Amino acid sequence: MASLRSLNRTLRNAQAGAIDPMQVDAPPEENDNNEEDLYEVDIDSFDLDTYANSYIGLARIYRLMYIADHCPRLRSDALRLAISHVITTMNANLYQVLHHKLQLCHGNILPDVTGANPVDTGLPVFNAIWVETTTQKSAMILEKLDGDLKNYKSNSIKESIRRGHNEIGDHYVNCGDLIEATKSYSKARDYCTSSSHVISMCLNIIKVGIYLQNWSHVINYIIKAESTPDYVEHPEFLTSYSSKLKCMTGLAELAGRKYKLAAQNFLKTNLDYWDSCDVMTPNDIAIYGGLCALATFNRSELQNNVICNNSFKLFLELEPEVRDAIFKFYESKYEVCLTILNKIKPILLLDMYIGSHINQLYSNIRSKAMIQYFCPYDSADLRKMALCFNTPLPDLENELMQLILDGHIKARIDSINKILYAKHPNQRVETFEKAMSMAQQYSRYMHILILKSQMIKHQLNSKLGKVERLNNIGKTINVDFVKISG
Amino acid sequence: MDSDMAVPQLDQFVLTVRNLANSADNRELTEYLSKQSETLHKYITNLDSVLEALDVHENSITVLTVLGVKATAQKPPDIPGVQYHTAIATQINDFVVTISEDELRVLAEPLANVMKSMLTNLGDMEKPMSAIPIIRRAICKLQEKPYQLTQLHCLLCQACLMSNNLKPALSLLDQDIYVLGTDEPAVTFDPKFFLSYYYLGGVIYAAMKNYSRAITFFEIALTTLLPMLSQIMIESYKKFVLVSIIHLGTVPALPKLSPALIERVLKPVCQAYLDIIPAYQIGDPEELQRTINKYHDVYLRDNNKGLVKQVVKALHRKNIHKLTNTFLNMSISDLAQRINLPNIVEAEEHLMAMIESGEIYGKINRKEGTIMFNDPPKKYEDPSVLKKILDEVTNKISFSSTVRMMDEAILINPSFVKKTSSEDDGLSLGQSSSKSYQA
Repeated sequence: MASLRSLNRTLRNAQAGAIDPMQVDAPPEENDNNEEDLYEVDIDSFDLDTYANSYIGLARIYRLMYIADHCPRLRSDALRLAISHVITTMNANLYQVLHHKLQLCHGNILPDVTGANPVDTGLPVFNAIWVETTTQKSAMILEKLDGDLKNYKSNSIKESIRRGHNEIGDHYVNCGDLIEATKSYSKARDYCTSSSHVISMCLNIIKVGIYLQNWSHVINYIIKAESTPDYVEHPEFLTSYSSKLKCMTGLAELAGRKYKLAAQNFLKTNLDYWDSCDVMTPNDIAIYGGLCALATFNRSELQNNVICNNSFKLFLELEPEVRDAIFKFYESKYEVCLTILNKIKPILLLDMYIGSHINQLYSNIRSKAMIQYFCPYDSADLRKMALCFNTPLPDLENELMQLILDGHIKARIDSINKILYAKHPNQRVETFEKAMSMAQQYSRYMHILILKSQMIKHQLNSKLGKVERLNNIGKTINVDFVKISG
Repeated sequence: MDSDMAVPQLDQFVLTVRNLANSADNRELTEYLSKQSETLHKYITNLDSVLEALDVHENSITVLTVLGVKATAQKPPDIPGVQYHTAIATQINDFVVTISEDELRVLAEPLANVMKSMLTNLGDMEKPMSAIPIIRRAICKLQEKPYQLTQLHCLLCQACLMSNNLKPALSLLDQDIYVLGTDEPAVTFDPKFFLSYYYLGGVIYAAMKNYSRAITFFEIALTTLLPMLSQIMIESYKKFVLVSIIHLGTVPALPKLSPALIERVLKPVCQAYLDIIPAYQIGDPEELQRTINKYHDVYLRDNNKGLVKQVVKALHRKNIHKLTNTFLNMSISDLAQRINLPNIVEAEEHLMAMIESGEIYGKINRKEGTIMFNDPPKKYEDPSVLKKILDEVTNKISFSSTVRMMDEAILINPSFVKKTSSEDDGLSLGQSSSKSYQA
């Protein structure tokens, strides 16, 4: 992720000088969270090939890079796979970056520029000729597309101009120049003649925005697409685009740590109209939506929106673990649920979109489980609870303490007998105390107001030289007598 | 003393002021007095004869001016300082005793200035205590009603602080103030007396550990004068932050009179204090200590070190309080470990102090080394509470009707109406603030 971002940053910086005047919302620099922790995952078995094959295009390469960044064990394999996919595109830049990384990964081996004995290392050789030819080829294609576009423009056929811009955009994506791609795609806006054109223009920009991780941009264009005049009225648009837009929104909300909104959006997607693997697979939606819902929904929301949601069920079937976790949670079998979740944790940590949120989501799920566990009881044995949550007692006590302090559980801990007792707050006393303190606060404010009015009265009286006098307040006071507070 | 040695200029002075005092117009006399101050300074040793020649009732302004000159002028070298300044204090005291209330009220502001120099001198002589009764007497004479603020209130607070004897000020501070100076429309009350009274009052309450009153006082000092700002308000804000943390654990929002101004002007200058808030709320004593060490010099410079030390102590108390909310009982060693105290003995000390002061309810079991936290005893369950509440309610109702009446009185005041319509003069609280404040 970090390397991806630095790559994007260099891209952005390179283009910083020239921002298209058409593009009103210039991408803000680094709007994503910088505090994202750089964790490392250790995983035993992971089928990189299958994983990679479920994605296409840049998404595949970026996901592989994310894995390479976060899992030392899979680093070399992931990079190698990524390189083999980069070769099929025209992204010479990324090719060089990946090779550099791979060499760093095998630091002990001297960079072998000549490629004399590739057999020894088993590493893919850095192919300088490929880089050169690809760069030339991409320049040529760009020139041709540009020429075509000029041609269309002189004939002023709107549809062709729009296509021309989109083709250039596609080409830029293929070359990995995402900023230029955004520009070309948004230039097509003026030549859109129908609502579907507008929506597809937005979708193009959204896709690139997701690659760039520029989430505010993504949300803007989702709103633009959804407010296209015909979008709401025509059911065919609604069915064909809404799933896609909803899950993009979900992704953007997830990145902004608004898990509940993310869950709600993911849950509105429909597998029947799913056609895009550019960014994520239906499996991803099941994971993202399922976990976010588990972490933020209450019991009835979970029942109504997830378990009884027929269209989302189809997604959940793809990820049986997540489905089981949700069902076990709902059946109050927290131990099983948490075990399942812990089992899939390493794989989830390698996901580029949800990976950095996993710890937060898991701790939310855990706290929610504890709150639900205790809510029917008046007293609970901490030892049993520790067993159920698979934690040592002292840790459980600390966790409970935090929950009590945050007001999620109304209880007190008997630390000697290890029992948790529900607390029955004395509403009467609380109300009285509240009322009294309110009264006090009220009279304090009134007092201040009275003094203020007095002050105003006296300021009114002094008609001359007021400003000078006020300027002198404080200067005449010496503060040196304030020595008592020790 | 060669007081009989005639100085022609002074004789002339006495004659003129007597003549001028007989005429109805005070202005001429005031002008003359201000012109003569140089002459008076020159013949500093002979001023006693002037005082003798003047009648306190008829020439009150002149007597006070001469006393003022005596108090501010350079002390004659041949008399010891203590004797000289005590003598002046006695003279001022005699003046206060003999003069009538009405005469004194007109002279409130010059009297405050004279007394200020007197206090400074006595402070230099390390006898500030002797100023307290004199100032008290003067306040009693100046006040028509107990809820009046006089120009001398702040001096009394200052005298008490200088002499490390805070009790005499408390009876005064405990009385809420509703009126500044006199009710007469022509007399203006200088805000500096007001501000310093509330600032010093807050300091006294903070020193007496009556934190809620201290917060109220600082709050008044902070908000009442907005949108004008002064150094006193900045100092008040620093202390307000510290005392609020000690007493409440957070810093409450100030009454919404001009919040934007506080954000813009006060917060940047008080960063050292605001940084304590998050450090305190995390609840880790080491973190708090780190923050405090970082700004050590600032606290030292602002003379707030004592309060900062109190913050550290308050953190331990707050942490214990937190535990009482979450635990029914626990071993003391566990408690010490949870709140990062070095040993059990210290934890026990904290606990005992808190149980004694009624902050927490609990019992320590020495034999097993445990502490058992009890629920607070039930309150609000007998008829006396009802009465108390009713009293409180009637109190508040009458209070609010007073406020409304005052408000109406201002609204229909013709000069107010004229002022607000002719110039935007610091009366509208929000918009005009930016031009008239100064830090």
